[in-house]
Amino acid sequence: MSLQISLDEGPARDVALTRLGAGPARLWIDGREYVGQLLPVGGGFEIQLDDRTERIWLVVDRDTVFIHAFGRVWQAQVTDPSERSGADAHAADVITAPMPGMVISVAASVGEPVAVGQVLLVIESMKMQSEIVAGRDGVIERVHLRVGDTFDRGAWLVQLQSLEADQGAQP
Amino acid sequence: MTLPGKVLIANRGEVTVRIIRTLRELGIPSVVAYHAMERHGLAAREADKAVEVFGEPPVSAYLNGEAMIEAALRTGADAIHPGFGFLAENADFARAVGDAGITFIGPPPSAIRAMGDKIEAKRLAQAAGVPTLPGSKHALSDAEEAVAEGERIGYPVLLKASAGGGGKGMRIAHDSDGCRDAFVRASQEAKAAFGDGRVFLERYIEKPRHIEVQVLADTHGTVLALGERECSIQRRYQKVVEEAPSPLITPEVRVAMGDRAVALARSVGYVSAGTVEMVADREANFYFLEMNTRLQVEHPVTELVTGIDIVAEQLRIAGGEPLGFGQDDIRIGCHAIECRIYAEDVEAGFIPATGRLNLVRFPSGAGVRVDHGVREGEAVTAAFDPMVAKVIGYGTTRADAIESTRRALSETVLLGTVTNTSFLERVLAHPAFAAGEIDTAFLDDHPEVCEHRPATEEQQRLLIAAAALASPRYERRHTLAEPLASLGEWRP
Repeated sequence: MSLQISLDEGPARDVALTRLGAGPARLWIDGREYVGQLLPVGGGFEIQLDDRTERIWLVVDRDTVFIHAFGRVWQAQVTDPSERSGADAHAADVITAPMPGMVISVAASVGEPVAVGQVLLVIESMKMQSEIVAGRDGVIERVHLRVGDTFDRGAWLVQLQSLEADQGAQP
Repeated sequence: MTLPGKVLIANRGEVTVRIIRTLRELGIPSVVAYHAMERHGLAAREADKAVEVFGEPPVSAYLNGEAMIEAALRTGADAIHPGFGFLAENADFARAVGDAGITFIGPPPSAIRAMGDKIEAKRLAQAAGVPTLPGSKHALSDAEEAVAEGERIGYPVLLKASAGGGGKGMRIAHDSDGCRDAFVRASQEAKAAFGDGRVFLERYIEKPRHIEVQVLADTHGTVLALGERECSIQRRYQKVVEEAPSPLITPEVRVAMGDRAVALARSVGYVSAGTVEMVADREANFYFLEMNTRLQVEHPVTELVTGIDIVAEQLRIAGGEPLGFGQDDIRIGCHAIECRIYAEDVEAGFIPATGRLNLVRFPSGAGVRVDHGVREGEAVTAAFDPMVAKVIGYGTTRADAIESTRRALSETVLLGTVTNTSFLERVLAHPAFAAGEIDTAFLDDHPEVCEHRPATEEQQRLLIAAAALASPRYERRHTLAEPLASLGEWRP
């Protein structure tokens, strides 16, 4: 099978794998061939690749693999190139949280037209307040949070009407 | 003159677990008040008794003084330890605890109040002979007065909230325009954070070193200085690496700083553990910053170098016992460095991260102490402060302490969210840190420590191979060991 794997948000590397009998696998990383094996050892793992062996800690969370190796943590993102993402469709319409925090005030209401740069929310994070502003001109479709709500990084804060919908509303 | 019989800890996480440890050593039962989100947390689990307190957002549960007092009365606790943060420097809470017939493990409310107002604290420090920086004598009435004072004192100036702390409501101004803007922002932030928008300003020392003195005072008039801690490695005005002793401070300056800190504590009738924070310039001239009337996050480094359990002393002092040692008995016996492990993304600008801690392994062994309050499988959420643990290394010399701490950091395994562990290791590995050339601008002057060091080509290959072989997208016919299997509920 073929995968793309990027390390710490770096460029994606092409990886192909096929099983060799019961244990090891044959891997091609950017077209070069290796024999590798991941073995559980004492609560952690041992990764063997050709003649190199390294003790590591590893946790898998869906397509994110967290690895503690060489004295620090690395984050690998696995994607299957055969799946194309349609997740970008909403991106320009949704303002997401740049960091986790709490909503201090809301200055936008549903149906209100807003201009690029206009303050929509004030959030507090790391004991500092910051403003969430509109990334483009538009009309507020939905405000996802209320004052006092806490949220994680990447949470949807405010949604603008999609541009097609705006145009559709024109007479 | 007896120790408290049962102590409620009005706090959460790491500091609660740390206080429980000393209570256990002294044979005192502990009670922990927890929010439902932390019902299965380490603090609630380690305590002899755990009671739920309520609030939304969850932090408000830990800020609810009445509920804490009620929980203490209900569980028969005769003393409350506030830890740090939350209610620790709330004079009204300290008074209410006393009024309910419960011992507050900390200073008297009057001392908390005096030091909580930064303008008043500075006046008291000056009166006690602690050097202070030139600044406005009272709260600034408006932006124009801020500008006038800025011009009188000379830029750069630092605008600070009178009710502030922890970097909230703090702004540096380099000119009059900046000062006007800084006044507006600082007072707004202060109003929002403390309900008190009063702001003052004072001369800003460029690239200061942050050095603080630990004091301990009993109810019999003994006030001692337990040496200093240097906390100059900061991000967003918050400390991330602290050490004792400071590489800048000579024995003579240590005595001078200690004497001034003791004089200030004495002048406000201080009792229990407290910290007088100072800024120092390159020549080790020091100036009063503020006094923190509580146990400090970084207290372990002082404990390691002096051999004194500060929490145990707080408990004995609260029980009316006199300190069992004098100033001459306090010796700085080694060097210790504390690193605060935060769930945060350093490269993205130190923004807090969330996620489940699916694998947790802390270092141990000679020269290492870890204070933490997390359990494997627990989520780090936006609801609370993202500090996960404190990893502390110590040794005979500063170089030994750096080595122990670096080893401990490399053996700190926290998988499932982003942490600052490797950033801390890069700070400690930096030649300027090794040389003791540190100040609060360290990260601005050495931005490379904030950048990931890329893996070598060979390391990358191993990591990518490991990720590929561990990915649930790779068809496996054999079962993997527990850490993977327990998380493998999802399959493509």
